[in-house]
Amino acid sequence: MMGIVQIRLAIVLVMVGIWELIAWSGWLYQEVFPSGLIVLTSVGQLVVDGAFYQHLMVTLVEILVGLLIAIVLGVSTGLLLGVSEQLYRGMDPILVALATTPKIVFFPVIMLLVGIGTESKIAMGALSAYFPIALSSAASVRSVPQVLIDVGRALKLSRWQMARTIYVPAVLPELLTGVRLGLGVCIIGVLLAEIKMSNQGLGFMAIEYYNLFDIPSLYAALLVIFLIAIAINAVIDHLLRVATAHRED
Amino acid sequence: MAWMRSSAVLTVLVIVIIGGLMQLAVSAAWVSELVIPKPLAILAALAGMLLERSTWDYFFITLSSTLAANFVAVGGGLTIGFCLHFRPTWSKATVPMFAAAFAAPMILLYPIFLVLFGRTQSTIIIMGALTGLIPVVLNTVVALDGVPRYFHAVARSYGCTRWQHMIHVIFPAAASGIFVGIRLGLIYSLVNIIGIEFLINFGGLGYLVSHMYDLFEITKMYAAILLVITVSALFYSVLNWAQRRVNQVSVG
Repeated sequence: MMGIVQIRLAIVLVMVGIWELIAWSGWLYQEVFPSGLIVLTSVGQLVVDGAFYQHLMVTLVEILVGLLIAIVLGVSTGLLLGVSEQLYRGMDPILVALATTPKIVFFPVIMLLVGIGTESKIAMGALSAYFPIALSSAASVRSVPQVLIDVGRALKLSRWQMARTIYVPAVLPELLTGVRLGLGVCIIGVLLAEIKMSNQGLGFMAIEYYNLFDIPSLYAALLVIFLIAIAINAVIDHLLRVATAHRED
Repeated sequence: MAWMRSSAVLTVLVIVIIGGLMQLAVSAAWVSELVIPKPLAILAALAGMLLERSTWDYFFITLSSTLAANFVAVGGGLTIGFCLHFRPTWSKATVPMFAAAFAAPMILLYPIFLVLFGRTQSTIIIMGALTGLIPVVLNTVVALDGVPRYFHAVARSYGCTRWQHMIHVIFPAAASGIFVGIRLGLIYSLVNIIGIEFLINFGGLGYLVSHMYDLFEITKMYAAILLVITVSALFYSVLNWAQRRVNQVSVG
């Protein structure tokens, strides 16, 4: 009987083995299926190249600014919808309909509005992150238990005390979940916009390799992008967990 | 029903107000018509496009890609999910791997699929199927593992065969949870399919948006985006309706 670790190891080894078999056998185009060693060499070349870090910085700035804009607009929308029942009932179906639409189709509108520069990638990231943040903010404001509000009133708390001790702790966990979800789609939005129309950033770098048919570098670039996306998500996840744990204490 | 009606009225009211403000802004030349066309012109363009056969062709390409991807995602996802439920060690080993893949931005891998399968409908279907399959697997495992133990005990005490146990006990109890995965999977498939159509300039409704932008047919581009929003919202509503029906039938 295999244990959990052995099974995971076996799955990875089988997948790598199949890939290497195809790469070395020449059954399919070797340009399309380069050996893992060639891809790893390309990863090494990529991370020592100064241009990679310039592209990385551009993408990180676009993600960060996009996310900040989405937080400001999303939380504002969420607060408005949270306090007005009628506005919530009127706007919620529209927000949900837009949230389920693939955001990248709005990219042409963004390019018309702000041009094709860095602003368009920031706007794409902000638009992608806006919906989960707005929807979770609205839900969190609406879900503050009435009993907590009544207790606050019975204790004759001031508005500031009500906000600090009742509303913020009650709203924060769900709001942070929305920010976490927003970050994930913000990264995707920015990178897809860079792939579609850009001359800088990690998305542009990857699609340039595709256009030049430098497939090992394409695999290397996507591997690195994938790892960066997972790392950013993991770091933010950890920070949010620390923030909410502190709050619960 | 009165609540439903008033909510729908409020939503229509919000849409009319936003549309009216846009119409006013463009009519008063505060915004260039080349950037945002008049909402009434967009609606007229959409009506015109719906009378054109090519729009329906694009729609059916997206629909066929989505159905094919969904078939693979649901069929494959349920099979893997059921297999993992009956092999707990494999389930413990692979469920975290599926969960990591679910959280990862899979759509960014589309250039690899372009290299492997070319700029074809196969690339779109495979990517749609892959993104749809993962939530089906995860939710199927969770739903089947979550069937209360006493359900199994009761089934055994009645002397149910394995087949009766599956059909009359496990499946009805887990149906609601399984359908949550199917619903998520189908939505992710559609979103990814339209997204990739747009990105690779190939296929159905996503391509229609990109194509209109390339032709600088701005009003028609907005109409195509409106069509994508409508199709996505309808798809989402139908799946939500189906989920409610499944919840009524499910005993879990």
